[in-house]
Amino acid sequence: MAASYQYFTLEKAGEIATITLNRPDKLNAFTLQMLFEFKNIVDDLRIDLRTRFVIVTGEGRAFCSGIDVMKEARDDWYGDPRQPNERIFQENGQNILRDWANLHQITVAAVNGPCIGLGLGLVTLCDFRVVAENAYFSIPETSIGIGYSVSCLYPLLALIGPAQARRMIMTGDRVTAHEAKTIGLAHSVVGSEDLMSASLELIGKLSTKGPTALRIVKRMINAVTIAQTADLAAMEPELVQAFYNATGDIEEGLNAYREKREPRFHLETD
Amino acid sequence: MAVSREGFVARVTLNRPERRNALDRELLLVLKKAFSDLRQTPGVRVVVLSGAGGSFCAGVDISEEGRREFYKPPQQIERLYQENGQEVVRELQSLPQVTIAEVNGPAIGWGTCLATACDFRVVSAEAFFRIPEIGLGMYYDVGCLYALLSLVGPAQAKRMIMLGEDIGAAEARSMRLADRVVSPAELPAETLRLAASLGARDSTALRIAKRQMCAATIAAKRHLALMELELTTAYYGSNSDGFEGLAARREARSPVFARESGGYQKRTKKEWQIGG
Repeated sequence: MAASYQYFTLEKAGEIATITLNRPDKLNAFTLQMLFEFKNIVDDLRIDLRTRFVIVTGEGRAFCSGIDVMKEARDDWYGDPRQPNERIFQENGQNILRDWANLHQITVAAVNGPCIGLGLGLVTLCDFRVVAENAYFSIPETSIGIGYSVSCLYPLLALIGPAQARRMIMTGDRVTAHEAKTIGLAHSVVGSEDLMSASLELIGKLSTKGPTALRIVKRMINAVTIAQTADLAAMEPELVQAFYNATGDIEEGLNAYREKREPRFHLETD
Repeated sequence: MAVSREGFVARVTLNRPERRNALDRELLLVLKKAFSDLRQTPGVRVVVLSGAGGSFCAGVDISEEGRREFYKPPQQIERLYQENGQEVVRELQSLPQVTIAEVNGPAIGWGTCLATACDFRVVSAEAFFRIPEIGLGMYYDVGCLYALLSLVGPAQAKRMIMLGEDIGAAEARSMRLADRVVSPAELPAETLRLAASLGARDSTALRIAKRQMCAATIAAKRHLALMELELTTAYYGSNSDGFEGLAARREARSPVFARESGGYQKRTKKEWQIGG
């Protein structure tokens, strides 16, 4: 059984569904349409009782390069009535990511290449991360003047703790696959050619466990980590909207990025 | 269900008066979609939720047919009903617009839940609130508890949930469950007055205040809601109390619930599909 999407492929075989981000010419960067397609996939999986495991991976050389920050994509993003401004994007993003995190299936990210920004959010919300040795992780958001938001922060923090999270978010340093293993971000690191077989092997091991027990443990772990921060998440859309409006940093950051110059961010003394 | 729009006020009306606006599967899913759409409708500043006819909402449709309908896709099992149900409640609670429940008549079970999920409750003097679930061998589930608890506190919440007592409009007012109580004839006008004053104050500050209060009360309990759906599912699957409660109600007799001292009786497949 296979459904048809523009920016993804979704294949279901036995108890396993495989989601592949499929916009390789843009390193699988998220457009608005892609985000809503992802929501449809998650909605489909949530009511699919036959599928017990989900693999998410990327087509081409990247896993996901984050949100598409090119002008055309941004204009498209905020021209859409479903999310005319940042606040509504934050709300939609939160809802989609929360549903993704709370899927009843056990989710495995097969990280085939660079995994950036929102891409990292997607994989930290998975139960496991199997990482190709040529992959790396990075969070460029603060470099272009935006915070690391839309609920991506909390699962990262739960995985790697505040010191490493600060380093990744505040410095934007790339974390290699092997380093990711050391700091608890990767479950295992394998050669590219072994990525899918290693993911399937992990699922093979999981499939021998009690299904209900697995699901309840997943819920319990999500409850004490991500869901514990739901009160903060409830405030976040307002905070982000107010911050963007107040400083104009995001426009400056994106313009500087596109014009390949240093950004000049707002200072309180300005 | 019907959605109408007057200026900046959107009115969502539960429209199944012949079943006292009891929720069936379809109504629940339509409600979720309506809230999700309203969230993204600029120009709507206030959302009013009310019931057609003499009832606000009689709760989940517990007729045998209603129960059977419930477990059709996409909620073919109890756990999926719990997940979908929680989403309806969360969608309503997290609307950026100010929400008013116009409680025009009895608000039972899910009805109380929907009313408490709103920011304000304007209540007809002839309405009442009731949570009958425990008496039916069921639990006040789908994440309904937290809003009620934050409104009325644990003593009154225990009274409502454990004893299933009817709370009339005047009492609801005194225990802060109702914000305003008016005669049935005055109800729509009173709701509109409140909507007008809230709509006039609509601003980012108003929305931030709403979020802050949601964060400090309901959202802060989301980790509990996440476990609740598994607990409730496991409970309904582990004994026949829900089935017994509903059967007793239909047969107009007292239910006989399982006691731990008497040993649990595992539910049969047939009961699973029909009951709980």
